[in-house]
Parts: sequence; C-alpha cells; structure tokens
Amino acid sequence: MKNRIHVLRAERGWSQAQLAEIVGVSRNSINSIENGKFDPSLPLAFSIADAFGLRIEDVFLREDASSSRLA
Amino acid sequence: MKTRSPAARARLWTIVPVLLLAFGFVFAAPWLKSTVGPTTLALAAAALAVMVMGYANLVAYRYEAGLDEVQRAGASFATKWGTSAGQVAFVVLMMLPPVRDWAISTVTGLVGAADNGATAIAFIFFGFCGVVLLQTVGTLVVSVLWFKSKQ
Repeated sequence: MKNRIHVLRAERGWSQAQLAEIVGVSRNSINSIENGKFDPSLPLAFSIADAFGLRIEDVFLREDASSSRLA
Repeated sequence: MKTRSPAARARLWTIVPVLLLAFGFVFAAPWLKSTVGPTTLALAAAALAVMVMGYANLVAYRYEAGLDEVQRAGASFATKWGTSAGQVAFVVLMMLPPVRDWAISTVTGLVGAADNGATAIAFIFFGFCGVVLLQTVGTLVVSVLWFKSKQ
C-alpha cells in the first residue's frame, strides 16, 4: 500500500518523531509505514489521517488501483 | 539523566536478575552439594528454572503492553521463528562432540555421577537453560533482522 506521509509531513514541516508522538507510536514504526514496509491497521491508518486533518484515502493509496474489482 | 527505551529496559530487567541467579547458583553449587546433598541441589536447580521462566514471562508481558502495533508484529514474528531456531540450534550444538562432552563433564562435575536421579534432574535443568538461552538469542537475532528489513 502506497502512502503520502512523507509529502504531507514535509508540507507541515513535521519530523517522523513529531508525527509519531501525535499518533502515539514509535518513530521507527512511522518510518516503516512511510517507506511502505508495513501496512498499518485501520485504526492506526485513521489516526495518521486524522493527524494530517485529511481523509484516509488522501493519505493511503492502493498499490494498483486498476486491479481492484471495486475501482 | 539518560532515559532508556522500553526494549532496552526490558532487556536490562530480564538479563540482569537472570544472570545474577544463574551465576549465584553455579558458584553456590559446590557448597550446596556438600551441605544439602545432590538431590536437594538438583531440586533447587529445578525450582530456579521454574522461577526464571515465570520471571521472564512477567517481564515479556509487561514489555509487550507498551508496544505499538508495528513493534508487536515484529515481536510476534521474532518469537515465532526465534524460538524454533533456538530449539534447532540446541539440538545441532548437542550433536557436536566437543559441546556434548563439555556439557556432560560440567554437569557430572557439579552433581557427581554417583547419584543417577540427581544427575538426570541436573541434565534436564541445564538442558532447559540451554534451550531457553538459545531461544532468547534466536529471538533477539530474528527481531533485529525483522526491524532492519522494515526500515
């Protein structure tokens, strides 16, 4: 699953540690999610989206939207 | 004052008391053997093993309560594969003649070969300690590899 966390953080001038503190996870966990190495659970994904004041689909993107039958 | 991460605190609180107990037991073994006899020594070893296991479980429970979901996934993966790797490593090590001979001579030196029952309990105790130690090492190694792969 792709995401826009790096871009959104840069826009707000936040470090990974700052975002981690807002969301309530470790900096390494934010790094793993940001690099696409770990897909967060729905509650954590919602928390991250809430931290940016955006909807979840504005932060997290499907890897290959064309492969989804629902798309 | 320097603050430690939850993982570092857990390692410290796990390793230090366990090492103190283990070294204390090894150093006290000759005295225990001469005063209370090999059977009581072997039973004390078994009680120590149960205590260490319970303490390790308590620390692991407290440690896991402070983890987020990414860390918990890593810990779960490391426990699953690290414990299996530790068990296999113990069996492989015990198949190596130098390690096997060293283990036999150490245990018979501590308890004595005269009392078969006490020797058997001592072998079980040290075997248990060996498995747990290698499982811990295996879990730590797998944990480090997992977190490195996720960075």
